[in-house]
Order: sequence, then structure tokens, then C-alpha cells
Amino acid sequence: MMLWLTIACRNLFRNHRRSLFTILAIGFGFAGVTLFSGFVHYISSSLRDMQIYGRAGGHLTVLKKNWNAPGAIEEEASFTDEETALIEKVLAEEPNVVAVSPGTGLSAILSNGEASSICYGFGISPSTVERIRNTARGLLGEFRYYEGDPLSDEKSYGIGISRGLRRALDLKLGDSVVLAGPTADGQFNAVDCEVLQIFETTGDQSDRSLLVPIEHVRRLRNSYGAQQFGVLLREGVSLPDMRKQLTDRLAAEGIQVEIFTWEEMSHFYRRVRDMFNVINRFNLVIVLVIAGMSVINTIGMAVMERTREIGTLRALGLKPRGVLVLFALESALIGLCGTGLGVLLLLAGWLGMDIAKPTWIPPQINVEVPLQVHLVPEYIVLCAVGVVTLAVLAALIASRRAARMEVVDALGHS
Amino acid sequence: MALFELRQVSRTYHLGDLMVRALKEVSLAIEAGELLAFMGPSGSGKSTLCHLLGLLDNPTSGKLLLDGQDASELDEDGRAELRNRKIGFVFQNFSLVPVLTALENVQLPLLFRPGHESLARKRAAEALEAVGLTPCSRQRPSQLSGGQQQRVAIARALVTHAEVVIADEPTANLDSEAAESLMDLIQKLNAERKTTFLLATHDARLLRSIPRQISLHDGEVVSDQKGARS
Ligand SMILES: Nc1ncnc2c1ncn2[C@@H]1O[C@H](COP(=O)(O)OP(=O)(O)O)[C@@H](O)[C@H]1O
Ligand SMILES: [Mg+2]
Repeated sequence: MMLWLTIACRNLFRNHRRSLFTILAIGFGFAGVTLFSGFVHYISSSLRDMQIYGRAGGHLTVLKKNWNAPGAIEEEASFTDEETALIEKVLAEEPNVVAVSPGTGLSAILSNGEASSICYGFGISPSTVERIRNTARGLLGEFRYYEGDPLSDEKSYGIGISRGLRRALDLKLGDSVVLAGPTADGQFNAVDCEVLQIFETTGDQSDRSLLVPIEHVRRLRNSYGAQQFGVLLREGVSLPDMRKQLTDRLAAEGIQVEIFTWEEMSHFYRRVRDMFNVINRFNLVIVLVIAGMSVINTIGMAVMERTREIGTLRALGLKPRGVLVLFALESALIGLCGTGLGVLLLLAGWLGMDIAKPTWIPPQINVEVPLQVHLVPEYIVLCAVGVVTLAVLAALIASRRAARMEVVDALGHS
Repeated sequence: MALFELRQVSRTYHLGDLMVRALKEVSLAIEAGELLAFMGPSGSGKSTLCHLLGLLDNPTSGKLLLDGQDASELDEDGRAELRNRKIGFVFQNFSLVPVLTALENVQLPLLFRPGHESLARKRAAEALEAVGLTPCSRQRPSQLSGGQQQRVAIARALVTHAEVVIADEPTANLDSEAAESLMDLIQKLNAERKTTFLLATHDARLLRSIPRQISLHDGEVVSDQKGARS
């Protein structure tokens, strides 16, 4: 086997120009694909962290069963006061649960005294949200998506409004506003609030959403009941297992719930991920085709030039299979060199981005965020194996005719 | 039992509608240890016969027995193994692998057998010594003269202790001095090692010292002279 490798190496060197171009093609293709997929990984994991930690959605979201049944109104989707207390108790007892963030949606009217606007509010527990975000400080960085002050449990009348609402009602930080909406039993109620922050949304300028400390929502709705619970789990816990366990546990307490994973909850994440996956596959196919063609071409030329040599080797007792091995080895070597170069280019690109720290404004985020690529070892190894396999396949395609050729014909080849 | 036995062997090539009968019902027997030359003008069928004897090609009709075994009964892999064990080749155009040194070239046939790597080095060194090229072991074919390259090819044929070496016009691309010395080497190896040599040549100058000479003409054996030394 050593001598086969020697032959392969020396032949590559002998045609170093040709080999080099093929290796460059593979190397740049490899680096392009792995860099882009590293970028996709960065995007997906950022969006994942955004969903789980940034918006404090947790890994699992507990909702009332049939929460979205046709015709269900907001009140039917809410847990009762007793159910809410019981769910909080059950979740608190579960060792894999790190934090529970209750939430309540609310359709309401926000008024500045002169004008009013319908809005869609969401009640959160500021301290829990802050705790969940803190778990992920490293992942999310100091990414701030609002101006003003953070919401707090203590100042529960302090609310956050979207840019859309600020524009609609011409509000600024510190303004007093009135939030009006239905109570849990269908009465009309209103509470005073103060604009504490103005936040970015993924929606457009007409997005009229509102963040309210849940204490204040409870005051407005005159009810302790929550609509959903974001459940943050220990890292590595199996989501399907946990989902089943919690559903059963709560059912045993007489509460019928539906539990969704963060992925199921984040429509945006899935869309972005799917889009990038399509682009990624598209890139991969192009690169594979180009790399495959150039290997077929290189090996094909080598086979042509060395047909007589193949004839001699066959005469000396090399079997047709051996001819395939000879060229497959040469091609695998090209693939390996290409991969090696590709890894170097990838690292260079990655380091370059680490130093230059480019930023970009992603769609639907509206703020500048760092543009990064992740090094994903599994993917890099997978690509390397893919490239070498492709190279070997290409060599088999290019040399199979020479392997089947009659020895005499190969010898007579000029 | 003869080393080779040919019974009415014919080889016909089809070139479109044209039929070229390169060999016509050739029958002959070759004993182990012979030094034999096929002679004849260009196109008389010498190469075709060499290819058949070397199991590189199959007869269109007739039987070819090597050590009593019918060559047409073997599949491609079987013939490759038999060639590797029993037959060595020297071709007219220098047929060394250009990227390998002389020593590595000589090792090649043994490396087609699994597990012979260490034996190969030792035997290759011996074979190179037998053809007087030990000093050139590390040189590539391009650094060797034509005569030296043919000697390396002979060493490559000897390394497996092949029973027969088939050489198709081994001197055709050599000057007469190199050709003479190659013939001397072949004679010496034939005498000392009892290796069978089958040569094809149309160079009558070289035939003086060859004990058996078979003349071909248009694919037919026209004379078979034994003990012909002038
Ligand atoms: N592959 C082939 N296809 C067609 N005709 C061939 C082929 N090889 C040899 N021949 C023909 O067979 C005859 C014998 O050729 P060959 O054995 O090469 O003769 P020699 O080696 O004595 O010059 C010639 O007429 C030649 O044209
Ligand atoms: Mg000839």
C-alpha cells in the first residue's frame, strides 16, 4: 500500500499545476460551504437563544388544552387562578425545571388622554425574565433591544411599548398612559401606567405591542390566572421526554395542558432556518458539482496520459480492481489536500471575522448585530468525509473504462 | 510436459468489415529453459503471438496451454494472477513507471501480491544486481539510458522468479552496442538461471547466438530451427 501512496503522491507532484487547480477548487468550495453553514449555525443558534432566553420563552411552553380551538376566546384559553397556582407548584417541584415564566396575552386599549389605540399586550414577570436572560448572558451578549429602563416587579405600572405604538400615540419615555381592557369575568377595567421603555420588534412599524409586568395585568384582569408558562430546563434534558412527563403530571392533577417546544413556538425561527437550509443545500450542490467535475477532469486526463502505464501494470499482474484503487487513491489524496486547504481557508475566514468583527442588520430585527460564523466540528468533518468520498467516486467514474480495457489495447495506446 | 503448448492457435482481428488474420493455426511447443526468438518482418504476427503467450490476449480459435493449463478457462483476475506468478515482460517502448525509482519499479510485481512488501525490497535489490544496475537503484527512468531501462525491465521480470520472460522487440529502440549487451545479458541469465526467454525481433544481427529461431510470415510459422548457431 505504501508504494501505491508513493505513486499517487508523485504523480500529483508531477502534474502539480493541474493538481493545484483542482485542490484550489475543492479548497475554496469547502471553505465557502463550511463558512456559510457556520453562519447559518450562528443565525439559528442566535434565534434559538433569542426564543428560549431573550424572550424568556424557555424550552417548553405550557398552554391550556384546546387553547386555539376554533372560536375559543381569550378567557377560555386562560388557566383559572387555582390552576395557575397548582401549575406553578408542580413545576417548582420538578428538578429539571430551572425557571418558570408566566405569561398572559391581553387585547386592550392604550390611551394617552387624547388619543387611544388598540394594542396587544403581553404580561410577563420582569424578575423571572431577567433571571432567564442572565442564564444566557454569554450567548446573547449585551444585546439591548429597547431604549429606556428595564421593567421591574417593584414598579409594576411601568410598561414597555413598541415603536409602532409610540408613533401612533406620540409617546415618549416617562409619559403616563391608561391601559383599558376586559377583566377575567368580562367587565371593563382600566389601570394607569408609565412608559418605561420603547422596544424593537421583529414586526414592522404598525406593530402595536406592549409589555406589562404581570402583576399589573392581574390588577387589570382582576385575576391571578395566566395563559401560558415558559419553562426553562437544564441544558441537555430531552424535550419530548420532559413534555410527556409534565403533561402526564399535570393531567394527574386534573389540568389538561398542551406543551410546545421552543422550536414549535417560534415560527420565525423555523422559517429562517428552513430558508437558510435551502440556500445551504443549494450552495452544497453547486460546490459538489464543480468539485466533482474538476476531479473527474483531472483524473480523466491522468488516465488518458497513463493508459500505457496501466497496460504495463496490468501485464505485470495488476487486476482491473487495482487500477481503480490506484486512481481512487490519487483522487482521495487530492480530496484530502483540498479539504486541508479548505480548513485553513475556513480558519482564516473565521479568524478574520473574529478580528474585524463585522456587523449587519438582519431582516426583521432593526438593529445592528455582530455578524459571526460558528465553527461546527461535526459539519466540518461531515464535509471532509463528503469531499473525499466524492473524489473517490469521481475517480471511479473517470477510471472505470481504463480498468475494463483489454490489456493489449492499453499497451498499444500512444 | 512443455511449458507452452499451442494447438492450432489463430487470432483474427476485425477492423470493421475487414478481417485481419494475424495468426493462422500456429502449433508449437516450448520447453522450460529455452531461449527462443520469433523472427519475421513487421506485420508477420510476432507481437500477436507474444501477447497470446503472455496471457494478455485470447486466441480466436485453438488452444494455448501453460504448464498444461488451458489459458482460456481463466477469468481476467485468474490470468492476472498467473501472469504475475509465471511471466515477466519486456516491451519495446520502455515501460517503466516514470515516477518510481529503478528499485521501486523492480519491486512492483511482488507488490501486487498482498503481504510481500519486505520480500520485495530484498528481491528487487538482488534482481538489480543480476542485471548490473545496483548503482542506479535510486534513479528514475528518465535518468537512465534506453539500455539501462530495458535492463531494469528485465530485473522487474526476474524479481518474481518468473518461469518465462517475454520480450517483444526489446532492442528496437536501442543503439547496436546497447542491443548487443542486452542480448549478452539475456543469454547469461538464460544460461545461469534457466529462465525461459521468448524474444520477438526482426533484427537479424542479434540472432546469431539464439539456439531456437521461429520464423513467421503472414501469421504462419515458416521455419522452426533448433540448435541453429552460426
Ligand atoms: N489490435 C489490432 N487490430 C487490428 N489489427 C491488428 C491489431 N494488432 C495487430 N494487427 C494486425 O495483425 C497483424 C500482425 O501484427 P503484429 O502481431 O503486431 O505483427 P508484428 O509484431 O510482427 O509486427 C498485422 O497485420 C497487424 O496490422
Ligand atoms: Mg510487433
